[in-house]
Amino acid sequence: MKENERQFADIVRQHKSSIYSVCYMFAKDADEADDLFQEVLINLWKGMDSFRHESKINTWIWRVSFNTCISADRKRKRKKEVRLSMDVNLFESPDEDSRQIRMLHERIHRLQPFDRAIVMLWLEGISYEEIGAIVGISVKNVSVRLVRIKEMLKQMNSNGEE
Amino acid sequence: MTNDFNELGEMRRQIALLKEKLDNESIVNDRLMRSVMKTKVGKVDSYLLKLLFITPLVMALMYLDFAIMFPISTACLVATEIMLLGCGIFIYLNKRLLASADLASGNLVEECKKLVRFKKREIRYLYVSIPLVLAWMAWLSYELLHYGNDPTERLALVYGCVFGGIVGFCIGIYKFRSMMRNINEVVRQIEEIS
Repeated sequence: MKENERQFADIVRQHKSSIYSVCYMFAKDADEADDLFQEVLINLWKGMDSFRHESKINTWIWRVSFNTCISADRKRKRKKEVRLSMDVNLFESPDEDSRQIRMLHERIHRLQPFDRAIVMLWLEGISYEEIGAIVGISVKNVSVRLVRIKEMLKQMNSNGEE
Repeated sequence: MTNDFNELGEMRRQIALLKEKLDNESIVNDRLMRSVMKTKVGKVDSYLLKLLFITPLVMALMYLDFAIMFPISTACLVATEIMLLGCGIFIYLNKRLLASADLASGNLVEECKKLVRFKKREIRYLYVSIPLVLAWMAWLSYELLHYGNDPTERLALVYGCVFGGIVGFCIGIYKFRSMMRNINEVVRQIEEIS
């Protein structure tokens, strides 16, 4: 393995859960999540050379993950050349943790793709400045959108209770 | 307020659960990594790359055809080569706009602007190139009609050129439309979400 390949493999292993959680929130089923995950890895690999460490590696990874998932062409024919060795299917497992995760997926999935990205970053505890840098909008815009998203989530919850 | 806090607190706990679950899973395997590393650039980008490689070959072929095999006037040959060189330069410049790494990691709004610029350039290029190609074909046909002494050979050359031109034009328009479809789809998706 070349040096850059080893470096890439390390980055992916270190950030796999962040990347996969983005893919999971943008996917409708396990297959689509796997496809998106593979697509994000491809874009990260292609962007490795142009990443000049001007921003933090986390910011870059979030940005590539969201951009890929938001702009993924869902109509494209899926290529099933490589299967992921994922043992647990988050969409179907019956345990309580998976049920909780599915509940989160349902809530987030009802939002618009751009809002999904913002709320996920906010839930991760990322600052408004960094969220703005990742999704490409101003800090003010982040806070305005977050207020709106929280309202929407609250409304969804009250509708669900009724 | 309490409700708001509870919901968001619950969502934070759920995302922590998800991360914890994923941390314990093996979702990255060697085959996946190898497959990812072998991946080449995107559809449109690779099409432009192919065109970029073909351009010098076509220039050499034109030289071989019209300077050695069926010599035409130097002015027409030079015009043909300049036209092809112009195409090559345009493709190179427009390809730079489509650096796929930027599309993946750049600011989506900025990328959308780049794509729109790419599209505008391609459309202008089409409007300029169609009359140019028609004029060039007329000139070439005129040159070939005055080539050599055998009228059958002349006619065969003209027919060959016209047939080649029509086939080339149809393929070009088809590829142009499919490239624009890809770009429009991405632009539409970015506009929808931003």
